[in-house]
Parts: sequence; structure tokens; C-alpha cells
Amino acid sequence: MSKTALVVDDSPTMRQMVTFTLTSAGFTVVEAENGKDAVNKISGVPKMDLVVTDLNMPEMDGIALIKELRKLATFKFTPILMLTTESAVETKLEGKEAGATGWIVKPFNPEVLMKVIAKVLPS
Amino acid sequence: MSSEFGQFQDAFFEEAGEHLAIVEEGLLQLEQHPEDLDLLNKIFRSAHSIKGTSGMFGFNAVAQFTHKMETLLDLLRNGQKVVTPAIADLLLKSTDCLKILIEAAKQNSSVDDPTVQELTEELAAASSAENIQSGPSKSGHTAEPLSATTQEFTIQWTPPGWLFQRGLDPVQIIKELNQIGVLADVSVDVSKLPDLNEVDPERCYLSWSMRLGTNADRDDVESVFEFVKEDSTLTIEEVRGKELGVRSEGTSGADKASSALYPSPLTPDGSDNEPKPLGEILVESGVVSRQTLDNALSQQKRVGQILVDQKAATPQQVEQALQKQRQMEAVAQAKKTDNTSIRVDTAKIDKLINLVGELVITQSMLSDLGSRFEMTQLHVLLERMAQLERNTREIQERVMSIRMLPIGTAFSRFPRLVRDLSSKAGKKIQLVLSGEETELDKTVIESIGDPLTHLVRNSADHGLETPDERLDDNKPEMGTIRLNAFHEGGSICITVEDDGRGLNRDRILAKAVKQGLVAEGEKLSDDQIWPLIFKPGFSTAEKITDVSGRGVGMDVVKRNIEALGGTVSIKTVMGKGTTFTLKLPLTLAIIEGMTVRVGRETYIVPLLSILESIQPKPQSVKTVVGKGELINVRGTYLPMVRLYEVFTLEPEHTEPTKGILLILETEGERVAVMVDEILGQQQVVIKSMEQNFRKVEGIAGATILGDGTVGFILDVRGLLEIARQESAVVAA
Amino acid sequence: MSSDIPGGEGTTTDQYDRLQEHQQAWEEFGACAVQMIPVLKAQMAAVTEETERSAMELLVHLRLLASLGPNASEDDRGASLSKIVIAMQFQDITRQKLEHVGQALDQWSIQLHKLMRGAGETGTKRRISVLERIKQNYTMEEERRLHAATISPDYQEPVPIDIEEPEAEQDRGSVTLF
Repeated sequence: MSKTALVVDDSPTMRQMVTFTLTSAGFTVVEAENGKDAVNKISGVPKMDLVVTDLNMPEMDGIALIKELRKLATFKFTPILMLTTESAVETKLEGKEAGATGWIVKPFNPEVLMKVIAKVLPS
Repeated sequence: MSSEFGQFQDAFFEEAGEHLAIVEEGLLQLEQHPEDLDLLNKIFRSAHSIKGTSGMFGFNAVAQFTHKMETLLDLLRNGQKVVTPAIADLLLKSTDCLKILIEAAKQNSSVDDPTVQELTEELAAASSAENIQSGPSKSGHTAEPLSATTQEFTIQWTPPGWLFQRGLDPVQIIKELNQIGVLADVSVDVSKLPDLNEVDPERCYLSWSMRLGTNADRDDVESVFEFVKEDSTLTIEEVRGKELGVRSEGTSGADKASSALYPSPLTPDGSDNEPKPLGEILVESGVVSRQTLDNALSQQKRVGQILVDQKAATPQQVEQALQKQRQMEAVAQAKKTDNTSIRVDTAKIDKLINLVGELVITQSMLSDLGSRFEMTQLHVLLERMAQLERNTREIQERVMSIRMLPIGTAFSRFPRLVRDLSSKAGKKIQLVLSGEETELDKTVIESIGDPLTHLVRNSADHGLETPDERLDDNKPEMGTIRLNAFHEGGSICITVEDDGRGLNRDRILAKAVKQGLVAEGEKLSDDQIWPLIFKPGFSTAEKITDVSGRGVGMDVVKRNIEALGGTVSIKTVMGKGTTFTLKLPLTLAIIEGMTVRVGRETYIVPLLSILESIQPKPQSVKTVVGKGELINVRGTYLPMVRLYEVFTLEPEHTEPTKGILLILETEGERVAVMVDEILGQQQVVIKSMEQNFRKVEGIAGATILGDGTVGFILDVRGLLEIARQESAVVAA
Repeated sequence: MSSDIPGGEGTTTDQYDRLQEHQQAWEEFGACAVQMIPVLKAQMAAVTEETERSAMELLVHLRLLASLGPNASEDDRGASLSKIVIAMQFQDITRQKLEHVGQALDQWSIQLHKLMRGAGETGTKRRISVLERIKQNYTMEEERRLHAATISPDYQEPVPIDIEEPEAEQDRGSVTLF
């Protein structure tokens, strides 16, 4: 019974790196290239254990996605991590307000990512 | 491992070694200048570098340990902590430990040493102890490296209401606390929970309080809450009762603590390189007496077993001694495989490459000649053969010169050694080094390491007095050991000088008589008495310390030096000090020389001995009865030597005013040497006169110059002697 | 009301005023360009350096990985893999930086078009602060720093490259959980 994760980023390389890190840790990963794509992909999915998303994406950006997710019963209490180049405090706050669990700045260290995930996910 | 990886690894170990040296040296200096920020930064950077690269290669034990050191160093350089003697000591010990860890990484063995554990904890403790602002009394107790403490914290935590809504789970956090320690008395406060019909199941109304017993420090506990800290109400309080009361021991405790925590088998120990026999170790640590040991040895069983049977030693003691032996073996093993690589100055390599190029040219000229040879061209053939020979000889010399290292590398272990010795003996000793740039062949440097170490120990142990004794003698409290190296008269001289008590003539004589080396009542001059200390088994030390005094040192020193073809001599004055002089022949050495011309001959003058060169004025030159020719240089009269007279040459100038005078210095005395012209400066490889011809007065050696001719290297001391003799002749 | 020919309709004074405004607008545009061009160049130079650096990192670690025999420990592999994952991300980051440079050039181009259309179109009475617009595009601390450093008069710093190698314990800056 492996854990599932949703990875959202418009850069294919970035998606690959996150997916690689997560699958190495035993996750099953669903990828999406922006907010809208993500929402489509998770419709019908009962529940996921983790979401990792970029902020700056076309169609629907990260903040909007987080707000959408938090409206769904299945994603209300799921840990959502923002993965972004942005480090400005205002953006941090925005994310927090939208309901994000935390954020990691790009480029991320896979070991650090796993540590953070360990903190928020029951192992 | 494939060779690719190995290649990277070698580079890593070499670099790590260098950084380690920087760290150790820096720490030693830091002890004298604890405020030096540049030093701290330098040390920090090297430690940081080791951590980074070792991590990259996957040497996690090394990286982790270094990280602990780095943390403490960072605090020091940021001024958040003060460098106390205890901290410096801890860091030095950690450096030693780090050396071992890196060595283990190299050998691919593991280090289970409890010392590593202890030091790790000490470092962590020292890094997290309360910040010290100032004041010696404060630093006295908080800077003490505490041994592993189990602390208790009371924790109260009220998380923010939105905790769940952001995907966080308090159970996770409590679980994490459980991983770093033992939780007790966990209680939940539900007072904020409203009635069931008003409760919003998505909000967190709860808060917790608990007690945590852990080996981790406060910061670690706090980091568990790191991500909710901002919006939570959190208190973490230490329950003071469980802290060990190390405070009272103060700074003197550092020594006690250090020797208890860090048993010495791994201290850099110059003379104990060879793994000792088990029995030796037991005797040395006082477990059994030599008698018992001898008895046991005379039977055929294994020493350890026998001693246990005889109840002379407990199995644990034997086991410990065995461990010690194993460790020493490992170190000795490592040392043997060490040093198979050398750093080479690229200039030397470039020259070598040039020479090989010339060799190729000569060889092709020869083969070209050979293909259409006629007897009439015999002389050309001979010429080119000679050229070939020159080339190969020079290549040989250059290759050998690659093995030349400055003697400074042999000196490098001494600052640390002297520091350790002086603190062990309770004396104040400073070490002064000079002549580190003097170059010697690599194997020679390796061989003099041990004899030098023994001499230094000797000075520290027996030569130098305690600070009190010195003050009584109107000497400065701080004793000095001086190591110097220089070229002279065709040899390398290394002196170990101390300003201690000097050798005791009577005691030596008495001991010699007792040992039967000298007949009772025999009359001996001082110079005949001093060398007696080199006899095997000789020691007039009153107390045998574990460092020296067992009479096995001096004769070994003498033997080693003589094996290299050198000599040891002693100069000593009671109450003032002793100087040991090691003289090693120059079979191969390179010096910087000034090339000069006299007539058509070229000579080399060692650059180090040249003070200046002048063209004298007529009135400066004087001839004095009984002293020969003198030259007035800025008010002082120096003896003058005409080089063409010494070597019976046809000079260009016979008038000193038309030639050049080189003012040379040796052992404090000066002489002016007249030549025709200064040609230039170059490095020359010295070839011994004695080995190729015979000793010639005034010549220290010879070299092959670029054009193939022989150049003689002047021996300044010899010239001085000649000047004196000649003046005597003139007087007569 | 616009006019294609500078100084089209209106009284001579009007024409003169318009010309003056236009002139000013051009000057401001020029001043902006003088400042903006170095900024864009610096951002692009940073991209090159980062690409080089990441490529080197990848080279080193891929080689290391390739040379590890079957007996290599998890740790050996893991350390290299981590470094590789970090280095690979340069693509996304440099893409963003270049996109921002492109956006800046676009905005600049719009201003240029406006100016080229003639004196009447000067709605550029307000200062054209393309620089301000560029700044709004940035999504990285690094970009902002570089921008500020390039503009300030005593700009002497080399382009800062700062891929953090966050060590395990020291990641608090780049990671935040709420």
C-alpha cells in the first residue's frame, strides 16, 4: 500500500526531479503541468497523501490550485508543499493563507525534501 | 573500486591531509592568540572544506564528525563563543580523532572507538552551552565540555487553530519527540474545546504539556516544532536538576577530564612507531613488573595467557593492552603505506621535460651521424656521445632533485609535540624553527624524523627546567628549544638547541664508571665525556617518564645518523643549555648560487652566504701586518681573499678596485672575496668532491654548468680559514 | 488626438511643446535603456554561469556514479544522486530567468513603438519606468539582487552565483512549514 502524491509544475525537468525523489522513497506519483491539469487529473481519485506544487504556472497558478484543493473534502487535510523559486515573505504569507502546509525553495535538495515530508506525513 | 574512483579518492585524501594540517597549525596558534579572527576563519574554512568533500565522497562518518567541529568553530568565529583553553584543547583532540577517522576511511575500516562518540558529544555540548558574553568566571564553568548529559525538559505547546487545515498533524510532532527521547507525563488540555454542537471538527482546540528526557540539546528539541513555532505558543524548559556538576572542577578539571576521556595510545608519538610486544605494553602501563614478564616469557605459552594464569594481570588488562597493540599496528601499517606520493614543484617538472627534449635531439643527431659514419667524423661522434652523457646525467640529477623536499616537512610535527610535552611536564616551552626551506632528499628527511624527535623530547624532558627552577636561576620562565637547518661546508647541519640546564659532567662520568665504560679515576676531557651519553643503555635521568629516560634513545639517534653517513656532536654549558648538532653529508642537494667569473673559470657562491657585493675604493683596502689584506666596509674591517690567488688562476683584474668584492658570511664571521665579474644567479645541483675526487680546501662541491663545464662551489668557511692561514704566512 | 507627423496640427507653440515633450520622452527612454541593458546582460550572464556550474556538477557526479562498483554503499550512491537532482533543476530556473529577460525586452519594445509613432502619442508624460515593470516580473531573490546591484552606481560585484547546498541541519532558510 504505497503512498500517493500529486506533483504539479510547468517545467518537465522539475517534475521529473520531484517524481524521481518521491518514487525512490516509495511513492506513486501523479504529474500535472499546471493547476487546471491537476484538478482534472485528481477528479475521481479517492484520496492522496501529499501534494507538491509550483507557484508560477499558466492556466491556474499554485495559489489558486491550493485554494481549490482545500475546498475538496478529499484534500482538506492533505499536506500541501509549495516548491518555488520565490522567497519573498508576501508570497509565503499568501500561500499560508491559501492553506499550504509549507514551502521549499528551488533548487531543492532531495534529502531535505524527504525530511520535510517525513515531518508532515505519518510514516 | 575502479581506478576512476580511486583517482578522485587519492586527491581527496591528499587535500584533506593539507586541510588537517592547516587546522592543527591554526589551532596551535589560536591557543596563543585566542582573539585572532583571521585564524578562526582560516580554521573554519578548512574544516568546512573537509566536511564538504568528504560528504561528496560518501565518507559520512568523517563528514558528520567534521560538521560537529565546524558548528563549534562557527560559533567561535561569530563571536558567540569565546576560545577558552578547554575549547582549544577539545578542538585539538577532535583534530586527532578526525585524522583517525580519515585514515579509517582510507583503509576502508570502521572506527568503533568510544572516543569518537565522546568527542562528538563533547563538541555538541560545547556548541550548545549557553552563550558567553564575557567574564572569566562565567567562561570558567559554561565552557567546560560536559560529558554526555541526560536532560529533562518540560514542554508546553498550544498549536494554532488552523493546524489541521494546513495538512499538519500534531501526532506526528509528538511522535518525532518520542524518537529523540523518552516522553513522560503527556497530558492534553481540552479546556478550550467548546460544546459538541459548537465544535468545528476542522479546528484544533487542544494543547499539550509533557516531559521529555533526552540526550539531545534544547535546540534539537526546538527544531521538532520548527515549522509550527511561529504561530504556536511553545515553551521548552530545562529541568536543571540532572546536569552533572562539573562546574566545580574549573579549568584544572580540563586536564583531568581530558586524560581520563582520551587515553593516549593514539597520541602522535614519534618514537613509539613500532608496535610494541604485548609484554612491553603491560610493563609500561605498570600492570606487571619486568620480573614477572620475564618469568612468563621464559615459558612457551602466549604472554597474555600466562600472566592471567599467574594472576599477575586480569584478562581485562590483557585485553586492553592487546587492543592498544592492534591500534599501534594499524597506525604503523598506515604509516608504511603513506608517503608514497609527493608534491612536486612544476618548475622542476618543466626543466625535466626540457631535458628530455634535448635528450631526444641528441639521440637523433647521433643516429643521424651513425647512418653515414666515416672515420673522419670520429671526433664529432665522441662529442655527441659526451653530449648524450651530459644530458642523461642531468636528467638523473633532476629526477633525484624531485625527491628533494624542504626540511620544514620534517619540522612540522614539532610544534604539536612540544606543546603536548610542555603541558604534560608542566613546563613552559616555546619552539623556534629556522631554515625550514633547506632542501634535503626525501629519504633523508624521513630518516631524521625519529632522531630529531628524540632529541627534542630529551630537551623538553631533561634539558629544560621547570618554570620555578628557571626563575631561580634568573632565566626567563619560558624555555626555548631551537631547531635550525642550514648548509655548510658541504654538509647539511641540523641543530637542536635548548637553553636548559646543560649536561652534568660529573653525573655522566659517575654513571659511565658505574657501567664500566670508563675506568675509575681515568682523566677525561669534557669533549670525551659528552659523547658517553650515546652509549647504549646510558641514561642519567633521575626519573623515568613514559616519554624518555629509559636509555634507549641516544644510542639509536647516533646509530641512525651514522647510518646516513653523518655525525652527531654536542656542545653544552652547565646551567646554560645544550646544543646537539647533526651533520649530514650532501650527496645530493640543490642550492641557489651566484655564478661569478675569475679569469676564464666560473665559480658558484652559495647565495645564502652572500651579504652584498661592492666595488671598493682605493683607500678602503689596507694591508696589515699579521692580518693580511683587509677591506673597510662601512667602518668595519673584513679580511679579504683574492680568489685567483687561492686557486692560482689568471684573473682579469688584479686591482680590487677594478674587480668585485663579495661580502660573505658564515657562522657569524665575514669575509670579502674578490672576483672579476658577477655572471648571474641560478640553482645548482651539488656533487660531492670527496666522493668523486678528494676533499679540496675552499671548495664545497662541484656542479655541471649549462655549457657542460665544471663549476666549483665555494666553501665560505674554508675560504675564511685560507684567508687566516695566508695572513699568517704574510706575517711571517 | 494623434498625428503621424511630428508637429502636425496646432499652433506653432503647440507644435513646439509637443516636440519638446517627445524629445523628453526619448531622453527618458534612452536613460532607461542605459540602465536596463546592463541589468539584462547581467541576468543572462548569470544564466550562463549557472548552466556551466550545473553541467560541471552533473559531470562530476555522473562520473562518480558510473565508476561506483556493485559493492558501493547506499550512502555513496545517495550523496551523488542528491547532488545530481539539485543540479538538474538549473534548467527550470534558467528558463524562468530568460523568460523574464524576454518580458523585459517586450515591454521595452512596446515603449519604443509608442515613441516611434510620433510626438502626439506621448502619453509618456509620465516617466516610462520600464525598469519598474521588469522588477515586477522577477520571481527569484537572486534576480532582484542582481538587478539592484547592476543599477547602483558603485556596482562592482561579480555576478553572484548562489546555488545553496543546503546541508541537512542548515536548511531552515529555504524550507518553511507553517
